[in-house]
Order: sequence, then structure tokens, then C-alpha cells
Amino acid sequence: MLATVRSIYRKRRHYKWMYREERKNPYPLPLGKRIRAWRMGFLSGSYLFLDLDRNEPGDYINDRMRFLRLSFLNGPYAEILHNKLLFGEVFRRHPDIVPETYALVRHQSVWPMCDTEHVNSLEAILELLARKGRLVMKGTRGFGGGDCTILEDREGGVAFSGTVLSHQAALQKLGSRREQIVTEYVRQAAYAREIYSGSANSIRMLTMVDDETGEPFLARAVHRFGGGERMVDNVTQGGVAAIVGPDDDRLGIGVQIDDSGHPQYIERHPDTGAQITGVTVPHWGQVVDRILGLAREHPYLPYIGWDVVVTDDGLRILEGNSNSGVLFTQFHGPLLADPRVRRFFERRRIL
Amino acid sequence: MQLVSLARNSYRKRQYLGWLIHDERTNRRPIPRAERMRAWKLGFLSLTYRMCQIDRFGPQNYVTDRMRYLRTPFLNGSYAVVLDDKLIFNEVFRRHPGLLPETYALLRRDRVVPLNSDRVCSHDDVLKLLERKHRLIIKPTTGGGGGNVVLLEQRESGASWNGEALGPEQIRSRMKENRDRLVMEFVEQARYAREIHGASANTIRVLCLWDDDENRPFAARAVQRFGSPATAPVDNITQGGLDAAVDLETGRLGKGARMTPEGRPEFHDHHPDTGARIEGVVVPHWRETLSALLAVAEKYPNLPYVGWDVLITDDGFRLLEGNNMSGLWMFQVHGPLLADPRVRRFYERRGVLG
Repeated sequence: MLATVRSIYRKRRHYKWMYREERKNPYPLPLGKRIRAWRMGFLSGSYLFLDLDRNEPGDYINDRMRFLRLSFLNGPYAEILHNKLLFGEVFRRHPDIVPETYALVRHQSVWPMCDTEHVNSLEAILELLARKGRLVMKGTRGFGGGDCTILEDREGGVAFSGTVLSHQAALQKLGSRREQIVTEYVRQAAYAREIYSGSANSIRMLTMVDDETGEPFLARAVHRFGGGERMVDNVTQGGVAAIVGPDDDRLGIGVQIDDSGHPQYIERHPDTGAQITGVTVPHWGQVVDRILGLAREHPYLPYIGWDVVVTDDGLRILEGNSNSGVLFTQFHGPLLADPRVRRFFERRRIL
Repeated sequence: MQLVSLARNSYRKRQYLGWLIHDERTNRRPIPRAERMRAWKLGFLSLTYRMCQIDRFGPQNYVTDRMRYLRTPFLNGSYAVVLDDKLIFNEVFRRHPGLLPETYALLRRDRVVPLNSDRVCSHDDVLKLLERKHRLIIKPTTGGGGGNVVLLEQRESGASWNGEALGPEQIRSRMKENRDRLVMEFVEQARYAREIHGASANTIRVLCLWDDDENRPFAARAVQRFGSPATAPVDNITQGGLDAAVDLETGRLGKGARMTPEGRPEFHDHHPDTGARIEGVVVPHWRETLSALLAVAEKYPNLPYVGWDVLITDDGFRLLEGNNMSGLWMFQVHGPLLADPRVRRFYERRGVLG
């Protein structure tokens, strides 16, 4: 009985997310096509992005599956991925893999979370910022980069994702937000900075477990680049997505969503003009091995969307996603075309 | 949004209220209805009312069961899951070397998920591991009170499941039961505890609270539990075990309290089943244990309220688990918690009292 109530409650919440996403869709789509999209389980935005007028919808993971079923794949252990503080706590035992978490901020209180830097007040955060130059502040919950702020130490104040505030106003703002963690700012590798330096350009690496062998595999890796003056690399908000690997370490063709919601295939970044297609991701083989190694060490999480930033000397994982957005990972082709992916979802009754 | 959060809160409170009622109903001891009513009016379960002798000492300085069930579960907020789920607990705390017992695998119905470098991937691997280690612990990832904890032993005649000799096929089929369970290392407890009652893992529950003024945790109270033949392989005190207060400064044990069939406390200076002395025994390396435990707790300010279960070994200690909604009568049978101003302040500031 309790399990049923819990399941209904969760489904209601996911339906609500789905409804909210549908309402946010700014792109024009005739009512007939909208209804067709909904009947096939897609939001109208996804229908446009995936060009389902021309492509076969049966090979795509649709939004209904994503919102209502994918979040149950990791069972109760999904909480490790939902909560960013918890994610850091679990994965920090692997050396040099997650950015350092310096402090937890809640209701004006600051608790130190790091052995080397004792950050226990709002003032101490600003002192640390003065030393480090940049820090990241993000909500312990939430996804899509919406609750992520880059703090920068600038002359005469502190920049919150580009907006400069005075010292006093910064203190007030730091303490006035919901539960946040203050983490290290990860400097991405030169190739990514050259393409677009205004955001942390991360790679979404989707790992699943192959039920035949029991081993994890990389289902898809998509490199995202920011765009449109935003400091996050969200593809539906002006960014670009380019497929990478698994065997080739060069970036493939980039996809950008145009003003009408249709995908445009591009080889250069639309804002900077920098070449994307063909650019080599440094030490890609090691990045894949490391991520698969982590998936192997945490087999109770069979489905993870890792957000990885490649640095000059390795990689950092910004977060893991349990309910990974599969939309932009399918811009370059449907996920279910891979028999291992189809088998994974079929066995877990997602399809 | 407020409505949703209200509904969520009500749903959770309903769950804890359900437990409260369940725990009252499972108290089958012959307690007159009037006494039960008196206990309920004051916010206590009849079991706590009798064990803590509220009729004799008055309720003023005691944390009631109403507070415990309806308010303390929320003190750790969304991080309660770290304590409620033993796999997540293990994943969070295993970064501290030597702190936890080794966890080898997760049993999920037909599947065995390996959790460390031993790569225990099947039920056969568990049996092979048992042959090498001789003793293993299997415990559910959720649930408290030591219920459903299994001691798997390799004996000369074959394997045994909580003392019951079973063939490999029967053990395999028992491992396939519905609940998620962990296969863990068996930790050998220190000699002093083996001598008092060797058939159970005799743990110490340390109640740690966060001091907002000092911005660090402190130990509010610690009790050493001892099992009995009825509770082995665990030390559950409602089923016949004893608990003795541990002096936080010296580690010296006080008298062991045991529940009589009528549900009243009975204080023993010797273990009634083994005859071994309890009162006056000093827990080995207690100061080091407590300071190491507090050093770990200090790294988790997001967990301000934890009942840690610690097993003292010959060369240190192991942390078996943390409890989000620790039972309190095991502490309060030795005196009310709120008599300590720091403890009272903690509960007051976090809205548990009043």
C-alpha cells in the first residue's frame, strides 16, 4: 500500500515536470503535430529537435519513458546522484576525480567540508575566493545547470556569473540562497576553451550495464559547448552538442537548435567561429577507461549520465545524473539502435 | 508548492506515526490500560514509560517518544538516507580507512552485485568467500534494531545460517530472498566483550549531537549493549539484552539494565546469563575511540543527529552503522537526556521540544 502511494506520488511529480517542460516550449508546432508528438510520448520540443517528421520515432527513448521510468532505474541509490553533496561524498574516495567541495551553505550558516581549507563563514568563502580567483556555487539539488553560479574575484567586488556585486552585497547574496555547496572551479583543457571559453564545456557520458557480460559500457558521449552568452553549456538554450567516441577521439558534427526548434548541423561554433568537428579530445582513451572503471566500482548504479570536464592533465566529474536527459544525446542518432542499449531498457521494462 | 510540501510532510509523519502505533501495539506486556493512557498523554510509549520509570522520576527531563517519532527523524533532513540505507552509508564512510567492516557484495534477488575488489559476483562466490573467511554477516540495507541480521558460518560439517546447519542449495535460496542485503565482513569484538557475552556482537551506541555554539559535534551519551542467548547474533535489548551506561570520560561501564517480563528495568552488575562482571569494566581504548568517532562526525555537519553503533576490537574499533532515529530509552533508562543543558539546547533550537 505504502509503496503504491509512494509510486503514485513520484509519478505525479514526474508528470508535473513533463507538463512544465511542455509549457516552456517556445517553438511553434501545429496542434495536429503536437498531438501526434504526445501520442508517441514526446514533448513538442523533442519532436522538433529530433526531427521526427523524418526520423523513425520507435528507436528513440521518448520523454514519457524519460520522465516516468528512467528515474527508477537506480532504485533507492539514485539519491547518491540526485544530491550533489552526497555525490561528492561518495566519489571523493577516488583520487582526483571530483572537484573539491569546500563548504556547505544553508540559512546563513557555513560548514567546512574539506580537510585542507577550513571555510566556516560567509567571510571565509570570500577570502577563499580571493585566493583561488574563481569558485563554483551550486544547489545540492537541481539539474540542467540552472542552479550553478560561477563566483569570480574581481577588483571592487565579486562577480556572480558575470554580475558584479559589492563585498557587502555578495555576503548577503551568498547567505540568502537555498542549500548550496561551494566547490573548486575546474579549468577545462585548452581545446575546449578555444572553442567556447564562456562556459564549462562538459561531456555527457552515458554508461549502462551490459546484462550479457555484467560489464558497464559507454552508450553515448556527447560534448556540449555553451553559446548565446550563457555560462552553462545547455544545448537547448543556445549551446552546441557534438558526438565523441567511443573509439574515435575526435569530435563529430555539431548540432545547434535554431530559432524554429529544428536541428542545424554545424562544423564551427556559431559564436566564436572556432572549429568543432575533427578537434581531438585529449587523453580520450583514459577518460573512457576511468569512467567505465568508476561505473564498474559502483555497479548498484547501472544507469548514469556523467558530466565530465576534460582538463589539461586528466578529467573531473562535475556530477552524475540518474534521470539523465536523453534528448540531446539522441541528436546524432537514436539510442535504441544499439542492441545493448535496447536490451538494457527492455530487461528493465522501460520499453 | 506549499501544498505539495505539506502533503509530503503529512505523508512522512503518517509513516512515523504508523511506527509509533505499531511499536505500542507490539508491547504485549501486561500493562494496565490506565497506565498506558497516562504514558500516552505524556507522549511516551508504555514501554518507555515503564523502563525509564517516568511515574517515579517525572517526565520533565525526558525526550518523549512523540518527539522521537515525529520530530527527530527530520533533524538530518534529506541526508537521513545516508543513515537509513546501509549501502549508501557504506559508500559515504568507506573513504575513512579502517573505519568500516569490509562490504563484499549486494544481494538483489537473483543478482549479486560486487562492491569491492574481491569481485563477489554470484551466490557461489559468496559461498567460496565464506570458505576463506569462515564467518560473514548478511544484513538488510534498510531497517533497524538488528532484525534480520544473519551470521553465516563455515563449520566443519558445512555452512550454518544463524546457527542452523544448511546445505549450499538452501543457503543459495535464502540469499535470493526479496530484500536488498549486504554481505559483510564479520568483525571480531574485543576480549572484554567476548568474555561478557561472546555469542553476540556487543556494540556501543553513541548519541552524537551537533553543538551550534562550538560548531562541532559532541557525545551526549553512550551505552554498551550486550546480547543474551535470546538475541544472538545481535544485542537487541528489547529481546533480552542488557545495556550499560559508558562513562564518557573514562569508558567505565555502569550497571547493565535489562527489561523484566513486566517491562520494568532491572539493574545487574553481572551479566545474568554468563555471570561475567559488567559494572566497573573499562572499555579498552575508549578515549581514542570517542575522539576518532567525533573527528569523523565533525566531517559531516549535514548529519547533526546520529546514533553511531561502534564495535570495539582488540586493536581499535569499527563503525557498524549510524542511526537517524536512534532509540532513546536505552540512554534514558540510565537518566534523562534533557538534564544536560547542551542536549536540551540542541533539541530546543531544532524545534524538537515544545
